[in-house]
Amino acid sequence: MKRIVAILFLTGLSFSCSDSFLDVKNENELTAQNFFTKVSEFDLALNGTYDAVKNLDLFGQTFYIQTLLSLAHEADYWNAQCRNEVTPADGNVYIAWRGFYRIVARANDIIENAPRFLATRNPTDADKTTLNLIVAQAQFLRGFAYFHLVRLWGEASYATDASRLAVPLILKVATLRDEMMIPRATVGQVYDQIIKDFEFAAENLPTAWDANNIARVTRYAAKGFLGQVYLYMEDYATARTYFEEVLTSNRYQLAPFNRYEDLFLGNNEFSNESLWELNYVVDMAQNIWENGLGSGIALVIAPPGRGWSNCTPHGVNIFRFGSDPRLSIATYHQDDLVAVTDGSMEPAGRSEFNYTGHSFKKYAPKNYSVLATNRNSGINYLVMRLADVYLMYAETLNHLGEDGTAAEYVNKVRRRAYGFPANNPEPTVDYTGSGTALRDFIREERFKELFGEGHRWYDIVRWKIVKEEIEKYNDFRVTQGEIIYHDKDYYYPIPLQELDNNTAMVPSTGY
Amino acid sequence: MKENLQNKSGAHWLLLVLLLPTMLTAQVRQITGKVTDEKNEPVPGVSIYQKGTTAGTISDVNGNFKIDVTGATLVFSFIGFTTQEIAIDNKQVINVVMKENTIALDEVVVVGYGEQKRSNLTGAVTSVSVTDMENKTQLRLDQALQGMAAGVTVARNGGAPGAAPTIHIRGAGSISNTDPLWIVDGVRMDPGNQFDVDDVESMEILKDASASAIYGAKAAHGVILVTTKRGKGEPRITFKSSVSKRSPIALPELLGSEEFVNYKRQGRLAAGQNPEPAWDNWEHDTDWVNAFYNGSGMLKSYDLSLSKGDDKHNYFISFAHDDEDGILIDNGFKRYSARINSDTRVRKWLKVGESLLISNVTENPIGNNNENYSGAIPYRSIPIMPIYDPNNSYGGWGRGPVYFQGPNPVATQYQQHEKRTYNRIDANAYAEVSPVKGLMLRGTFGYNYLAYIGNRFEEAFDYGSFADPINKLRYSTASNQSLLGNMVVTYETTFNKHAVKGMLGYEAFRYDPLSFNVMGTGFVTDVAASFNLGSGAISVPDRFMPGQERMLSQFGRVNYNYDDRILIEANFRRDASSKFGPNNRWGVFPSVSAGWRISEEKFFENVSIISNLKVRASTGKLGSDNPLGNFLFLKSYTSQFSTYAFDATGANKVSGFFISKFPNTEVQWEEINMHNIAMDLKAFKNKLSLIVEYYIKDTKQLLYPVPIPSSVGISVHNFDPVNPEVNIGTMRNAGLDVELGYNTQAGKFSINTSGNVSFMRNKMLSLVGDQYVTGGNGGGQIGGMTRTQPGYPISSFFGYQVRQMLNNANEVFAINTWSPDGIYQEAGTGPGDFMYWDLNDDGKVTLQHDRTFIGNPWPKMAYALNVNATYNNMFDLSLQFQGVAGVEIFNAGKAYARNFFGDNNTTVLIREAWTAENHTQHPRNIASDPNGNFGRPSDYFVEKGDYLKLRNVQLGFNVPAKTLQRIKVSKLRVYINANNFLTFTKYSGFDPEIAGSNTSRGVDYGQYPQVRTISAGVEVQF
Repeated sequence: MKRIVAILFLTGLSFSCSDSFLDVKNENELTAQNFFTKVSEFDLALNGTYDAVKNLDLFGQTFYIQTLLSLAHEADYWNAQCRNEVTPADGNVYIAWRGFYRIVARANDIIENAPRFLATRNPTDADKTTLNLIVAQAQFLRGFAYFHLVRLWGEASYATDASRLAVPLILKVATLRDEMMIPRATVGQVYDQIIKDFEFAAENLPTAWDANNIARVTRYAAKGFLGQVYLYMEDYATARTYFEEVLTSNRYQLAPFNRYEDLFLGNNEFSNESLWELNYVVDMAQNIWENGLGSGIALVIAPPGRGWSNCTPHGVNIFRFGSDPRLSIATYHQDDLVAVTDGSMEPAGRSEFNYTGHSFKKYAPKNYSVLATNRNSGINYLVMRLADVYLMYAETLNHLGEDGTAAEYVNKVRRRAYGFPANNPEPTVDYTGSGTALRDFIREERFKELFGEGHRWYDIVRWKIVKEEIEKYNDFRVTQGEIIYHDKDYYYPIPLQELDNNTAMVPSTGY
Repeated sequence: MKENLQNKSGAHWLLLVLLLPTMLTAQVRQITGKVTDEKNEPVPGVSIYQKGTTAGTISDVNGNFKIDVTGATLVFSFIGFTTQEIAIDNKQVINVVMKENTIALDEVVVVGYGEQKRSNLTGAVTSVSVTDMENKTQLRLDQALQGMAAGVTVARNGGAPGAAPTIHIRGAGSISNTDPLWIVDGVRMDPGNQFDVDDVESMEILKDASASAIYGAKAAHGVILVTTKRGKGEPRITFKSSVSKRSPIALPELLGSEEFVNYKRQGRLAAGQNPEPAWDNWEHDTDWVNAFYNGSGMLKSYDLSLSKGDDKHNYFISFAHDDEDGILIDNGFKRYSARINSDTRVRKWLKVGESLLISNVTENPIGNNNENYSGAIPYRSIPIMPIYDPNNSYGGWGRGPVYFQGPNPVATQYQQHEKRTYNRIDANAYAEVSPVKGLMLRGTFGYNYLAYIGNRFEEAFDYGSFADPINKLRYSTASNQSLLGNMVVTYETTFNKHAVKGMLGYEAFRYDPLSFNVMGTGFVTDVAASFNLGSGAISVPDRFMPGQERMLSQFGRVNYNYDDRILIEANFRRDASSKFGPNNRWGVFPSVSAGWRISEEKFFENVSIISNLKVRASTGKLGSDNPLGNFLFLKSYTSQFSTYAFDATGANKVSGFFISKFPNTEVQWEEINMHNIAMDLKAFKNKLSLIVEYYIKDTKQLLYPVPIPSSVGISVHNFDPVNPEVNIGTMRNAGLDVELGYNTQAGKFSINTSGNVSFMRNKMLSLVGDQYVTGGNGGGQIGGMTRTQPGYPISSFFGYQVRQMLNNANEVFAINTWSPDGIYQEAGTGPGDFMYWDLNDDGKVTLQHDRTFIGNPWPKMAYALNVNATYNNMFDLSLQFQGVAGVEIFNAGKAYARNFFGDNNTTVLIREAWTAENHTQHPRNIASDPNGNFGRPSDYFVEKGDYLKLRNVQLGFNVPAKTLQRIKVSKLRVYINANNFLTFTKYSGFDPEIAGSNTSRGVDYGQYPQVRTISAGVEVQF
């Protein structure tokens, strides 16, 4: 009997009586103890940062559709953005906020841990070089995120009043709750940081990458952004120097006319016209909600019946193009042949939504069929391309009084669009005006050339013509009520989620 | 039943059993006699039967009886009296004097890590009458608990085969998961869909701190102790079989094509939109509800058991099979289970035993409808779309017109071939050693293993706008095992009038789950079960996920009993969970209780009406780590949903890693402090029993994931950041539980009545600042209608209050003049829209300021009444009524049934919509609902949810003993049963029984319909 009692007790004891029984290992995740111990892990974190840019919240679908297309009325859609009636509770405002801060956090984690790694891990010179390239990319992406954040939430432009409030300037990853309560920085503070980040990137990034890394950011992309940032700051002299560095690098040229349309249909990716594009690939294994490599834009904007197809070009835009050939670059006509479910080509058609008979074409592939692409779109998103740089350069020179050169850069863009060689004068399309007439012409050129590429809202805010512009769009509407202008429309409200949970946060003026 | 007899080989066998014995002859003798009590008064209603059978008779009003016997011994039993066995020998007349049984009170109830006499209990323990649960065609034990105990609320989550209900013991004690802890035969185990209700011997529900604190950190939301059957008496074979038909309580009537097109057009024109060209020339008129709810609803159940038991050895072996076909097409549930329970007394001082349940469950669930579908009612289907279209190369299923983005609901059911298989082993073994008198050591070892296989083949489909030409096979597996071991030492002794009992124990628990999901695409056959047939990519979407959980516990109990009058009990438990960081692992959970048996006092001796009177009180602390995931205390990195490619073709797809979680080192146990006072009463020779309990249950350190600002940027893919749990809130549940029982005999009638009533109040006392938790899912059209906010019950309905219907343009104009910006509600507000109250008088109806409390989803009262009547031991009738009162339902279904949501259809109720000619109280029909009549949560949707259900009625017939003896069968009973038979309610939705999670309670937007079940069955024993 004693033996049995002993066995019973041993059974009990074999479960172990000590706390070590409770020490379990997390086998599904890496922890702070074992991450960032090798340079290759910084690379993994950088992958995650690029992923945060391309993901569904931002350029993979939501931000592009709900904010960039809608606020500026390039699209007619079922959201408050399309009425310029957003509130702090607006879901799309929140998604944009959360999306850009996701980039910031992932980049911060790399930037913050790099010095710690260098100090503690005895890196080789090769390690140091690699790590420096990684950090430079992270800073580029962080600068890019803050550039969007400051333009969306900054309550005034840099030149008007740089002391107005923008967004929290977060440069390290919080761990404790108290560290998460960060107040809004001023417009000026955010711009200063953006410049620092892009400058670091411009100094440390290579001018190009090999084919396996072609989607990474480069030195001239950083310089292009620096030009754009200074343009937005209305520091035209500095903007000019950066644009000219891009132009004289001889790395970029406009795509020829016969490849022009292909830029937006995924058939001319990583071309010489592109300074930076987000890489999307049809991914049959992981759909867009599982955050595969595909883009979800086409799902929303494809012609009727091809996807959800309920976000369509606002009718006013169609008439605004007039006879400009770029209408057919930017939109499908109802008779254009576009794939249906099984891949066969049929007229794009019209529905209650695209009552003008025009559907979005940029980022909506012709072969976008459930059959061939499983609702993925593989078209790369053009973040910055040379035509945009030309037009920004022209705008800069116009401000600096050099209208002749300014007009030439506008005309290069126009000539290509009309099928002429970009660099030879072409009286049938060349514009010869100057002063404010040229300024207004450049503005309209930006509309036509860059329609559907997500620049319009920032442009009309920068030009301070939001009221005039959005009120043009009260015609031809079917989906929502009247657009009413308020001064606060110039910036987004700080989302309710942030106001509720960040004790240091103050709401946007007027919201 | 007929089908059953014809189709099942088991039935042939049964028939044989029925016929064969009639050919045999047995020696039958008749015995007569009279039953009296000690005062020589006749005792009517005494049950008299031959030992080894259950068939017999009962004594009449004068105590006389007459019985035909073949065996050697007669058994006399009656409630309140000692059961007697009398040898027949050669007697023809047997007169019996029944002795009143004072020990009858002292049924032994199972308590945590032991047993206790009911008379000595000081905590709140409800014993569930298991016989009342049998044959009710409930496939789940948790479901069968409905209406069985005061303070235990069970609400069905729809009528899907095998669906789990939601259980609350004494109210929702937390905002997260509040499922009770289930202990089966001493081992932690969730009796999910694998458990056969017929295997249960007894069930005890531990409701207060005193009773459940011994289970410490898992007991916060109550404990349910289940004991399975052990063999007793002579070898016995029992066979049960039943066949049932389920049918939906109510289904909506969707519009037919003509009305659909007309009302759709009317709505579009009202909104200034052009009608769809596709509406003209419609050709089809499909009734999708009928086509969708076209399952047979048949349930067939079989149960066979073999048992035997004596002092040395016992066994109970059972086999069960249930096969249910849902009321919905291609939807069903199947179960096979085998149980082997045995105990052996090896030596006088050593006893060993085991329980083993092996089960196989397969489910064919509702198809995954690819986010195109809300609830289980096919609102998103349009009558002008056909079910079939022979021209569709993808299976010949009907396609919708261009603008319709939804699925073909019938096709999605058939084109998704899904089978979920659960193979389980649930086993435990114990050894009990009693080296000296009063001392007992018991070691128990429990093992639960689940092998899960989910196999879903999605055919390529083309439903028009919604199509996917790539077929997919998704294969997911889980292999989860849990091990539990405990050692318990008990010692009891008595000296003079003092009785002391002590218990000490130690327990370790480990849980090791593992899961793996794979998906392949591009299969060359229409339906495939193997990846070998695929031509496309194979991916691992959710990856390989191992997990571990550990728990260590020390516990003890002391009972002190003075002369059976004063009872005192103290419990403690110390638990450590691996979910917490090293600093906060251990939690201590004590409780103490006392009872005074007034009826045992000298001064009470003369009170003859009352046989038992006890008052008792308890207080204690319980814990919970339910809301917590593992490894919260570690900062972690993951690559979930993070991909990119840096080459143009995407051939080199890479994963990205990122911080997914902050270290949360502060988090601690959620605590529940519970106080209970109670009175137990038995009177009139124990015919009447009454238990009244009052409790207060305070949840402290309530875990709440306090949101972090999204600017911290830690979030996966397109999700919000994971908010760290903080111990912050407090909540109170208070209530009164009353259980009343009455048993009586009148002639050959015996009636057994038990009822229970609970009154409950829940109130959230504090959370962070003025924060609240928003919940409430109402499908795509309406959501966010519940709020968990201090000062209100958890998950209260919050929304706008409708002030009036706007009947003309002048009224619309008038309200807009009140607003500073000329819009009182919405720019599109017009006649036929609701006007809401502007609660803060700022001239506008706003999200921030004009929503208020509009309803409480928790019943203030829940009640049930069980009546069992038998006549002459031959006929029996049982009735169960169950109801709730003082409850509201958020009828979100109105947003679909009275309104066209998106491209959905709606029901015939749209005929009642407001028009300029007919001013009703239901909003106008207008496309996209510019006023948000159906999108804003408002009191328009809130309705009284009180109901009374005749939950179950069963009529049985026992074949008389005389006949049975001839055929050598000891019991043969046939019965018919109706479950969820009648409902009395004023609720306008389909059925007022709506559950939901703790923070989204009581929202009805179209769940799987509740079902009514009619069954017939037979039970035979020999």
